Amino acid sequence: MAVEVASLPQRRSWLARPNALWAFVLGILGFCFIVWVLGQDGGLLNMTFGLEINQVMFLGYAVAVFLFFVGLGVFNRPVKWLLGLPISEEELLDEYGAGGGVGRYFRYTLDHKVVGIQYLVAVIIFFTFGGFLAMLIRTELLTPNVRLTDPETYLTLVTEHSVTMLIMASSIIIGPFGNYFIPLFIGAKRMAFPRVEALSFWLFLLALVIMPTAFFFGGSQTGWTGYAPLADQMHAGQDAYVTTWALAGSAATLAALNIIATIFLMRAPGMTWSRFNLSTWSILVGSILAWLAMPIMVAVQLMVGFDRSFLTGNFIPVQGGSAFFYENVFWTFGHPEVYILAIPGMGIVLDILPVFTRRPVYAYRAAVVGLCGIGLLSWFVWQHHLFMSGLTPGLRPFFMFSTEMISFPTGLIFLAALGTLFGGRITFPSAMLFALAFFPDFLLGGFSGIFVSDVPTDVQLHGSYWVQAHFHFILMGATLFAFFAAVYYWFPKMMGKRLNETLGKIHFWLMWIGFNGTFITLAIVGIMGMSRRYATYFPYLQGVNVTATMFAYLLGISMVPFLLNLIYTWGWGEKAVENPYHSRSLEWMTPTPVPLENFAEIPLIVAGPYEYQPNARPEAILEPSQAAGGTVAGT
Amino acid sequence: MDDTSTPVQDAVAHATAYIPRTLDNRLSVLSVRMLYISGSFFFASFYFGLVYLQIINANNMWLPHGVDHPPTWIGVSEMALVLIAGTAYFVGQWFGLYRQKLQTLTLGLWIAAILTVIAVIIHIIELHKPGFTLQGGGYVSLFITIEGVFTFVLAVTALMLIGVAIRATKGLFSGGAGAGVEAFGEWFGWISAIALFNFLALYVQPFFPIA
Repeated sequence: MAVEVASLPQRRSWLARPNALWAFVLGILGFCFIVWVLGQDGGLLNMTFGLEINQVMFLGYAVAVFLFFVGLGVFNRPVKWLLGLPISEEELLDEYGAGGGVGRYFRYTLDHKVVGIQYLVAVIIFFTFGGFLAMLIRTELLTPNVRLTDPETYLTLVTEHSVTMLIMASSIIIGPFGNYFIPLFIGAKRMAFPRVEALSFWLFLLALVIMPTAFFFGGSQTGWTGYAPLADQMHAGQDAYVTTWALAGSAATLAALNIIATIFLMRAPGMTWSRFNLSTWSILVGSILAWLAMPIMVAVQLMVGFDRSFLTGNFIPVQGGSAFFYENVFWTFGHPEVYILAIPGMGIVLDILPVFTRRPVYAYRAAVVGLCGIGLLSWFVWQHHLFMSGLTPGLRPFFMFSTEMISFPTGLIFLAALGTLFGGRITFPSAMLFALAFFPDFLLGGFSGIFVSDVPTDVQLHGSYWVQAHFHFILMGATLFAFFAAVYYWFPKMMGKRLNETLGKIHFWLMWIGFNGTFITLAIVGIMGMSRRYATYFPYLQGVNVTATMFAYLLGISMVPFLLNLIYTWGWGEKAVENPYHSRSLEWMTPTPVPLENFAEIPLIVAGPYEYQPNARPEAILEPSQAAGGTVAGT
Repeated sequence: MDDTSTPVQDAVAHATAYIPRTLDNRLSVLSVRMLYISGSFFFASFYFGLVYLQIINANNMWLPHGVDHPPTWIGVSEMALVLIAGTAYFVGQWFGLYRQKLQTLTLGLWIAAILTVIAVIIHIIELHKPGFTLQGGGYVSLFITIEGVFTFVLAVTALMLIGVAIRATKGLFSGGAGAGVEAFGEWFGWISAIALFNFLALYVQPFFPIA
C-alpha cells in the first residue's frame, strides 16, 4: 500500500526536529569546549584529571561524535526501545522521510534511497576536496624545491588527500549505489536494517569531516598508511587520523553487514543466486571483505590511539612493541581494502556492457567465480607490501606467488567483458564510455602491479612513483571510472532526469586523457628514480614532473563539465523516461521516482537480467503473485 | 504480515507489539551473528599481537623480569562474573522463553545485567591500578589495550542488557516473541567467550611463554 503524502500528519518545522544542522552545531561546540576550554594547559582536564593533549583530543572527538548523534536524533529510538516505550506511527513515517522534501536529506532518514543519495552527494563533495588537495600537491611539484608549502605541510597535504580519497572511495560504489539499488536489484521493499544503514552514512560523513581538523593541530605526516611508531610520535593532528579511521571502519562494517543481510534474506521469490546481476554479486563480495577487514583497521587504530593517549607501547620497540606488528595487521586490512574499492566497480561495468551491446553477459558464472576469487585471494597477499621491510626472505616466494595468482580470477572478468563486447551492437553513451575505460586502466594497474609484486623488481621500484602510479591506476582508473559510469547510467533512475550527453562526453575524454597522461608520466618518473612523499626532487626530473602536473590540471578541469552537467540537469535537464536504455534489469521496472516501498507488490522473478535475445521474457512479473507462497522477503 | 505493507507499517507493527515473523527473527539472529564474527576479527588483531610480540620479543621486552600481572583474583572474578551472568541469561532464556516461565526470564536477565555491571566496575578497578607500569613491556601494553577495549564493549553490552531486562519486565517478550532475547543471548555468549579467552590470554598464557 502506497503511503499517501497528503495523509501524513503535520510535523514540526525542520529546524525544530533533530537534523544535521543541530548535529554539527552540537558536535563542534562540544569539541571546542573540551579541547579549547577545558583542555588547555592548566585547564580543568589538565589540572584536575592530569589529562595530556592526546587524551584531551580523543575525549574531544568522542564528545563531538556523541553530541553529533544527539543532535541528529540517532539515540531517540534506541533509548525508547531500551525503556520499552512505544513509538508512534507518525514518528516512524517521519523517520522514513515519507513526507518528501529536501529536508529529509539533512536528517537521520531511514529510506535507503535517501541514504543512497546522501552518500552520492557526500562522495562528490569529498572527491572534489581530495582532488583539490591533489592539485596543490602537483602544484608544489612543479619545481624541484619547495615553493608553495614546506615539507611538513606538503606531507600533511599528502595524508589528507590520501585518507580522504581512500575512505571516500571505500564507499564510492557500495555507499551510493549499494544502498540505493540493492533492494531494487533483488526485489525487496527496504534494506534489512534501515537504522544501521542511516547510521553508517553519518559515521562515514563524520569520519571525512574530522580528518581535515588535523590541519588545526599540526597535521598528520604519515601518509594514508599511518605507520607506527611514526604515528605514535606525530602531532596532535594524528589523533584526527586515528579517529577518522575508527569511524570510517565502523561505518563500512555496518554498511556491509546491512547489505549482506539484505541480499541473504530479503530476496524476492524466484531471485536465485544465479539470477543476481553482477552488480549485486560484486557489491556482495566487496561487502564481505569490508565486513571482515574493516574491524581489523579499527583495532589497529585503537592500538595506535592507546599508544598515543595512554602511553602503551604496542608499536614501540623499546617498550616491547614492534613496527612489524603494525605493518602486518595494517596490511591484513589494507590489501582487502584495495578490493573493497575495486570489486564493486567490476560488477557495475559488467552490468553496463550488456545494456549497450544488447547481448547477455558472456561467461556469467566465470565472472562470478572471478569476483569471488579476487575477494578470497586478497586475504593472502598482504606481505607483498613488506618485501623491503626486512621480512623473512623465506616468506617472499609465497606472497609473490599468491599476489600474481590474482591475475587468474581477474582474467575471468576481462574474459566476460570481451566476450560480451564481441559481436555486439555497441552504442557509446557516456555511461558506456566510462565503463569501457575501466578495462584498459585496470589492465595498466594490473600490469604495473606485477612488477611490484615480483621481489627483484620491487627492490628497485619500492617507494617510488611507479608504486604511486600503479595504485592510482587500480583505485582511480578502476573505481572512479566505474563510479562515473554508474552515475551516468543510473542518474535517470535516482534523480528522474538524464545527464546531458554532450557534457558527459567532454567530461569523459578530458578525464581519460588527463588521468592516463598524469599516471603514465608518473610511472616514468618512478622508473627515473623519484621517491614518493618528498616535496623536493633532483632538477633533472623537473620536465617529467611539469608534464605530469599539466595532465593533472587537465584531470582536475575535467570535473568542471561534470559539475556543470549536474547543475544544468538539475535546472534544465530533460525528464527521463522510465527505462531510457531498455534495460532488462529489475531496478528499471519500478516507477521513477521510486516510491517509498519500491515495489507495489513483491515481484516474482522469472528470468535473468541479461537475456537480450529477441522475444525474451521480462525479468520479473510485477503483479501480485500467489506463486510467492509464504515468502515475505522485503515486507 | 501480508505483502502489501510498507516498511513504515512494518516497523510500526514491530515497535508497538512484537508479532512473530520468520523474516524478522531471522534478521535479528543473522545480524548478531554477523556482528560477532566481525567482532572476532577485531579481537583477533589484538590476540595476534600477543603471539607476535611474544615470538619476536624485541629487545627482550615482551615481559621483562619482575613484571607481574594484576592480582589474580581480579582476572578470575572478571571472567567468573561474565560467565555466571551468561549462565543466568541462558537459564532465564531457556526456562523463561521455552518453558513459558516469564518471571524466570526477567529474573535471569536482571541477574545477568547486575553481574555484568559489577564486571565492568572490576575492569575499571583493574585498569586504574593494574599493578605495573606502562614501561613493563609488550605484554603490559597489550594487557592495557585489550582490557581497555573489552571494558568499553562490556559496558555497552551491560547497557543493552539492562534494556533487554527492562523490556522483559514490561512483558514485551514471550515464548513466541523472543527473537530479541535469543539474538542478544548469542551476543552475550560471544562476550562470555571473549572474557574467558582474555583471562587465558592475559593472566595465564604469558607466564608460560611460547618463545
